[in-house]
Amino acid sequence: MAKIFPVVYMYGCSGKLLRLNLSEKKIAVEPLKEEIIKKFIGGRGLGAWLLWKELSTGVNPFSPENILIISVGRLAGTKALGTHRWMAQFKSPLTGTYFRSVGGGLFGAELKFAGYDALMINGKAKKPTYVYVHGDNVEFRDAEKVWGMTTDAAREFLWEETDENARMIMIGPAGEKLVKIAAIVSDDMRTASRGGSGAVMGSKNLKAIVVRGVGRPEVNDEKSFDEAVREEVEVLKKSPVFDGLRSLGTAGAVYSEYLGGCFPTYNFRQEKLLGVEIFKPENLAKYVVKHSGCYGCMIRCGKIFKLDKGPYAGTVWDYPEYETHWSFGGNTGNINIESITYANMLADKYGLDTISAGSAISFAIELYERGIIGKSETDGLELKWGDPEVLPELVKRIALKIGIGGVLAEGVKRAAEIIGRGAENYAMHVKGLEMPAHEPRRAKAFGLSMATSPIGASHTMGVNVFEEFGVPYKGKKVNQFATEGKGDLAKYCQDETAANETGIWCIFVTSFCGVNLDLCAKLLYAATGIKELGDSRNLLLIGERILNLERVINAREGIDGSYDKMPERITRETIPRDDSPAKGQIFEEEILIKDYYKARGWSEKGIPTKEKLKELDLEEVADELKL
Amino acid sequence: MKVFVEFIGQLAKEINVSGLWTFLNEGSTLRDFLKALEKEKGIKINPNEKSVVILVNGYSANFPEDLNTKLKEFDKIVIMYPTVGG
Repeated sequence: MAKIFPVVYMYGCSGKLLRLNLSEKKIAVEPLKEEIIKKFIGGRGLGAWLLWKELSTGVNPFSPENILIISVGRLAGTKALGTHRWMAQFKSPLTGTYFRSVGGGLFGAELKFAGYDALMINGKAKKPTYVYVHGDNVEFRDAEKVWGMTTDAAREFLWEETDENARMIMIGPAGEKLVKIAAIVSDDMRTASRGGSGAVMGSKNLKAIVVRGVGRPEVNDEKSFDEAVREEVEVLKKSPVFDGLRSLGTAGAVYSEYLGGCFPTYNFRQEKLLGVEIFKPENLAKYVVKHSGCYGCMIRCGKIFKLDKGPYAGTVWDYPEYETHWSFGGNTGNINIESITYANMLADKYGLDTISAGSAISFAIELYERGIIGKSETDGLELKWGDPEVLPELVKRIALKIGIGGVLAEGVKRAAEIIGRGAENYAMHVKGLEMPAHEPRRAKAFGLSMATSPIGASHTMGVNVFEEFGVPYKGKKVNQFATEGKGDLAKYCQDETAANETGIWCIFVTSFCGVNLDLCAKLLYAATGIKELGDSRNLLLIGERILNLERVINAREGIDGSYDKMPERITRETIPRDDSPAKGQIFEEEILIKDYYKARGWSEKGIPTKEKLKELDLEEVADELKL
Repeated sequence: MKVFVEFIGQLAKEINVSGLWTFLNEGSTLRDFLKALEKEKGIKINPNEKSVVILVNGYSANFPEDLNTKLKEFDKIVIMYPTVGG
């Protein structure tokens, strides 16, 4: 056990980075420089900077040299609303790129209470280990007993061994088995699930990080901070989407997003989903027995579903979000809510990303339908659209790498390479990251954000209320189908999202409910007393700086604009659904990407130029990259 | 002509109606439809309220500019409180 010096907070942050070397069982605490806080704030910005500085080029994501950063935002653990999320950043085994994935629940605030802004983990433990951070102490503990356990079982054992009030993040069997779509799961079943975060933990023999904090962050100007928090509360209460999120979370949007053409079906073939009415919110609301939320949140978008009929009766679990109703539902043609909920529970227990797992399953069903794979490859399992029983079975096989599950566990890009025979035509991904429940052909700037994101096809790297809700951009209503001006719009959405994720603000509180960058800046200034953080224009610039830095981390790995590619189904096949407002649309990739690079001030190869990096105060990065 | 209107979620619960056909004169607009809904069915929808979303064949209508949008036979209109996926 290593004794760490007492927690001393800088205003609004702990100002400390905890370094953990699992190979050598070394612990070090390092103060964060104010200069870095001014330049990158925290959360995503801090993690991207640390990876740029310390991650060696070309490392195997499963090697001890890969770095896993777990961070919280500048306002975690304070009274601010929606700022208590946590983030995992690492080199992804799924995409080979820089990666960031975000989780909610109670863990983020607890890490701040323990006195840290970020954990930086490298090396590999000799045997299964968990890290226990409590008070001023940090310990590496034996995890052999909980290795192999599902997440819900492991948390009970770890609470018993540590503190029943501790919060934790952990992996399930999928992460231990290096499934490339494995998630990190919190004790309250919130996940940072994308990009194989759980597999990176597994590769380090790290089962869990358990934290119990006793401190509380102080703010610089309490009166101004409280005023700004009250303003946040008022914005939320007046927001048109607040009640909807509070009553049914994101699941309330499934049916309307289908009607609006956003919700893809049948592996993005976008055919009519028969029986889609089952996803109407008034029907889904019947399953809700309890509400849950992140630390200090007044939205409480988490819901607990209870199943009391059919083969899965007795299941009581965290509900399937919008994305999971799609990945285990519409995208596989499955309209059985019980099966979706049960498969979602299995994914949480095994520690699996539901978006990627569902995408891999719909990919396999399409291959089976087309005769590219048959029963000999599926161990006799018949794969067909809309089969409620095949879903939970395949979730289990992917998590445990059984038969075809072992191939799908590689993600659809690699699975298509293994299978061959034209399978790549049906692998829906960008840069190896499976596509989410958002149709890029119906909102071109949104599609651009997915195509150009440094982590691949993410729906949360360029949150876009302009095409989605008709919010005017630069004073004008945006035509979602048009290509003109979409480079500039995608850039704005990505930069704003990156700025928010220094918070780490929840997108429901900011983009969807209306807590804008001006109010974020007010909160940051009141909390930290750092003048530069009180200017929303500077926050947007910091967002741009972060996105460029992430792009440069990829460029250092040889990943350039040639990776900004949508699947051919998106760029060549028009949407056929008669009842979709996006019928006939494609994603005009060449025009859109060219416009985007121009708006970004990047080279034609999609690399930030020396001039752009200099403008963003990243000159040393340009020098190191020899631009 | 007739158009179908569907109420979703909490709004459907509040007015206790999930869907109905509405008969309109040829060339009727979205404004005419909302008036007919109030007069004939007793359902008053104020599109200027921020808390109501109206989709016409999947398109989100904006107000007041889309009130003069002409409807056609078998159009599907959806009225609900706003929701978001994510």
